[in-house]
Amino acid sequence: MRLGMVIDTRRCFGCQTCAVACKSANNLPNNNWWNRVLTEGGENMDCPAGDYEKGYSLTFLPTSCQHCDNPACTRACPVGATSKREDGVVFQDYDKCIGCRMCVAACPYNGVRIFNWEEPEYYLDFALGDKDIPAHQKHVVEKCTFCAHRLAQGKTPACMVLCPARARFWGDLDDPESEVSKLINKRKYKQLLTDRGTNPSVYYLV
Amino acid sequence: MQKICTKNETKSISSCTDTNLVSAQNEVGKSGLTRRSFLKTSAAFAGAAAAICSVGCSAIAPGGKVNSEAEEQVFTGMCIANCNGACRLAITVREGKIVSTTMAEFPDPDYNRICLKGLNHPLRIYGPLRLKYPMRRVGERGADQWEQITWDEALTLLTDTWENVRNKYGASANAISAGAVRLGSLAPTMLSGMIGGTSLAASDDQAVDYIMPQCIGRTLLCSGSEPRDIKNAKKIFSWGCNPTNSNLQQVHWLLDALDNGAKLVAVGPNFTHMAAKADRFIRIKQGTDAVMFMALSNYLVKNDLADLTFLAEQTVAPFLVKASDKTYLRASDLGIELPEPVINPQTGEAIDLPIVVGQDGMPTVMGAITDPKIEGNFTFGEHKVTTAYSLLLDAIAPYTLEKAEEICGVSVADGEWIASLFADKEPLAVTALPGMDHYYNGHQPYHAMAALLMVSGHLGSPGNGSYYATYLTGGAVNWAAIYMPSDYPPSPEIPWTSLNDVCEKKTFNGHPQEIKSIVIWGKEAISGQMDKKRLLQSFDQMELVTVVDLEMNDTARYADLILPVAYFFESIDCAVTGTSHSYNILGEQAIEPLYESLNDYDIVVKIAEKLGLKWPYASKEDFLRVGFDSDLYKAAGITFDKLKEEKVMNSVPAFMLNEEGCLILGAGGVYGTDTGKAQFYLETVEPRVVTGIDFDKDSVRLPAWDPPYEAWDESEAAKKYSINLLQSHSKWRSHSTFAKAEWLRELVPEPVIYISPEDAAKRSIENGDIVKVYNDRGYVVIKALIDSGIAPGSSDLPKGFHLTDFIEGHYNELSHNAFHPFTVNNCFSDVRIEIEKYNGEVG
Ligand code: SF4
Ligand code: SF4
Repeated sequence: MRLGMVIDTRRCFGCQTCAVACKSANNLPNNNWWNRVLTEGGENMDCPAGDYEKGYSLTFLPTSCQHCDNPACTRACPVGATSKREDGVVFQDYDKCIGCRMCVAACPYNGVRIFNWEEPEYYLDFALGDKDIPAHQKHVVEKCTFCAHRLAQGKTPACMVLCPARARFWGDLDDPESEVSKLINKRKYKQLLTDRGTNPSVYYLV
Repeated sequence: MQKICTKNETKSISSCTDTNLVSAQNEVGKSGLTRRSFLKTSAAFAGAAAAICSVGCSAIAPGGKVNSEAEEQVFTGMCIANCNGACRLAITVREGKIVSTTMAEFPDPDYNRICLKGLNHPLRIYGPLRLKYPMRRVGERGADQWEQITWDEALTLLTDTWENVRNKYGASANAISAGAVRLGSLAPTMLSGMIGGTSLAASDDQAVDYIMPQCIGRTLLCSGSEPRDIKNAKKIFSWGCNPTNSNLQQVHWLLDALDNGAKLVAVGPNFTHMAAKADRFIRIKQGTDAVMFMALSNYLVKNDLADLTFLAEQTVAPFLVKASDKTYLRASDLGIELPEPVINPQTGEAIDLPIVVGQDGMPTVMGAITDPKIEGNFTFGEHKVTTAYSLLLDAIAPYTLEKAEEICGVSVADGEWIASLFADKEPLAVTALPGMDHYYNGHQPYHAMAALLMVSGHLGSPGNGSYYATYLTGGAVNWAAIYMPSDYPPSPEIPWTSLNDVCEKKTFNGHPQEIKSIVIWGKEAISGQMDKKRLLQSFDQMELVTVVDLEMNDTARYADLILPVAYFFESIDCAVTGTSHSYNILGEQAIEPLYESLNDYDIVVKIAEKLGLKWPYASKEDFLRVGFDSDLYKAAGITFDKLKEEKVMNSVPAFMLNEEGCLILGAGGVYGTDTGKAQFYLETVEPRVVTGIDFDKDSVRLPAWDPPYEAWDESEAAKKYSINLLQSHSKWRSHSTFAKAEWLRELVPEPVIYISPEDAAKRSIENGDIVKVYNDRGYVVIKALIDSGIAPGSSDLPKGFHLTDFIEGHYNELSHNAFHPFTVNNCFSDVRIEIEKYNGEVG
């Protein structure tokens, strides 16, 4: 089994709903974002490259942990705090993490792993989001877990509920009959930084 | 460890966040993530946290694990944001507190919806801006100094003021502004009738709302087909709007059409996220769309590409307009009596049918022949008449594609290409949200667009027509019971647009009129009305400004008396109107009202008690029951009690839907207009609201164009100010709703104005510079971002941030209060400004 996501960049319009859904479900501390929707365009967020005469280009790249089939982070972690599960989820165990940030250095995908330098802070004085999420901790690395706590309940990750553009797809990449497998068989796609040999489980339809 | 920024180095964390997003983006997108700035990222975020929490939020770490045993209850409700999305929500309550609001399913999953904003409700419910108890101002107006009072003291102050004002100035000097999308929250609309006061009526999006139903009619839902029918279009124009920001829940159907091979063309001044999906983006000057639509009609006609059959059968084209009074020649004018009169089902009266001319030149009543003449001048008896179509041809004759190139800046070649798409018979849809409405001439583009859809025959069948935002499931509601309960007749209305005039001139529509007390119930007037400085001067004349709301917003800050309303999920209610789908959604009570807040309905009942007035309903549920008591709801099988069981129900009776379950405007060639036809000609012209300001009625009967009030190079304002200012709808806020939601503010921490590289270079403004934006009326100091998608000579300041978010001033100091007397509509984007680098101290 290899759980993965397919994101149709021709449909995604950068609305950030998936990013906020992640923030909410995982009760992310202030300023932590496990899923960020990056602008591929001009210098500023949400602005295009190009001009009227030559033409514009603007697409979006929702980016979180790529749950690589061949993760660089797990090899770098000296204590086994980050590890790949049988179902393909690259998991982060806060209790084992010693905060050395080797995984952050090893991961080629900038910004998907976040180190809590300080005690996590929140806007409200009680926990929001789902139950069963592990407590956020100071001095550990955290990141997208494909909502492991939701998977355990037979649900999809929070970012899949619901993409207003219907651009996000979820399933088992090992199952040729799954929607995700069919999509990458049928459509042109890209994975991020294929030269690093990580073989991400997040596919972007182009 | 290198920090990108700290609280002291930059004004806010925006630059950190932006930089992160952008730097990561550059690395992913361009250089392949070679520069590893992971430590910088984390450091910046950590450094910024303190800055955010100093703004009055709790920093107690609530990040502990909530274990599986914790009991949770899920309630149903609707996101209320006045964005039209009207998303059904699952509201999860744990240990008595709402811990999330997420997407809840519709019976038809095609309608499932949620956006970045609707996920933030817990932050608003428990956030620092939530109004907790009634408060009375103690400092200067606007100084944000308050004392807590009891509900009884508050309502005594309110009702005593009403009485004083009534004694001094007459009852109509007490004004109430109330409106809502939930049935129970409509109770406050009865208040002005109860006290014999004046009802202050909404004046937003009213040009499009007024003209479109007159041209193409409306269904039970709206003036357009059901939005999801856009799936069936083969050509789509996103014209003068940006649905991905302002109406994002309809975009997935548009994307489906594209997946099915449809072509998308975006037309507008600025490049949008919708334009990013388009086959082509065609830039047009602000406020000139009517010219383009007329030129396209003209081109189709001249090149024999107009759909003459459609015009003859489904529009007013063959009707004969009398030269004398511009009305249609009707059967009674010629003394024709029908053996069996046609009865108007609404009034039960016989219809005096319009006359048409047969190919033999003989007059006969509409419907008697299938191929009437659509062109020509005729004389029948004393009546000199011309077909409506001939009048249309005269009206559009001056507008050639060459003329359009001159006025709109769209090349003749592009014009011909657009015309070729309209000429094609494949289904063609125009998604034109109210973007073009926010101009003095805001009715003109929609009128001309409707005419083009008629000339090209793209109306009345699946995949054809215009799809615009305003969409009300409220068609079935028993409004009469709500607005006109027998004891309290509806009160006279004054539109918000006229408030300042009334306060300054003390007259309205030629009669003496004062407004000396105002209750603003659930409306952010300061960021959502025109000309903030004049509005505050109007407030200054009031003996009492009362704001009834959820949060301390800008208008509340200027109030004398504040009444706290319970949150949407703190009392039972039903969403029935203001939605872009046909479902009615039950709003369950998930938690008790927080603090001392009361729900809208209960506040009205308390006021009635205080006034010693009879309140006609036994309970809120009783009120809701009456609202659902209508023939149309019966036809759809909905009662309040049924809805309580099912929680979400389709309000459109099945017989109105086609095989695909869609409501199609003009299906069968019948339109919900006065004549039952699609109307490019308006036989009856009445102002939307009688303000007493004159205008030439003949000037609005047919498509026409007048240059914008300010946003035009030859306007009076353009002599001093060289840039147009657009107030766009941002995805981050719905107007001012969610403007302070902290999660969203982490990503967009501060207001910005987007300007073109050309205008920036002329003024030596660099990306991220602080600028002063000004005109005669006022100014705002704000960060400027350079965006190549902005047309030179234009700028965009997405609306909705609060006063306290700006370095100085406010964007609504720049807007003006002029309005067209036909539509009586706010024109937010018809504004001229100048921009310069700000040299003052910031911080
Ligand atoms: S929710 Fe969907 S459309 Fe919005 S940013 Fe995420 S992937 Fe893109
Ligand atoms: S703000 Fe609008 S689109 Fe977003 S969740 Fe609420 S109703 Fe839906």
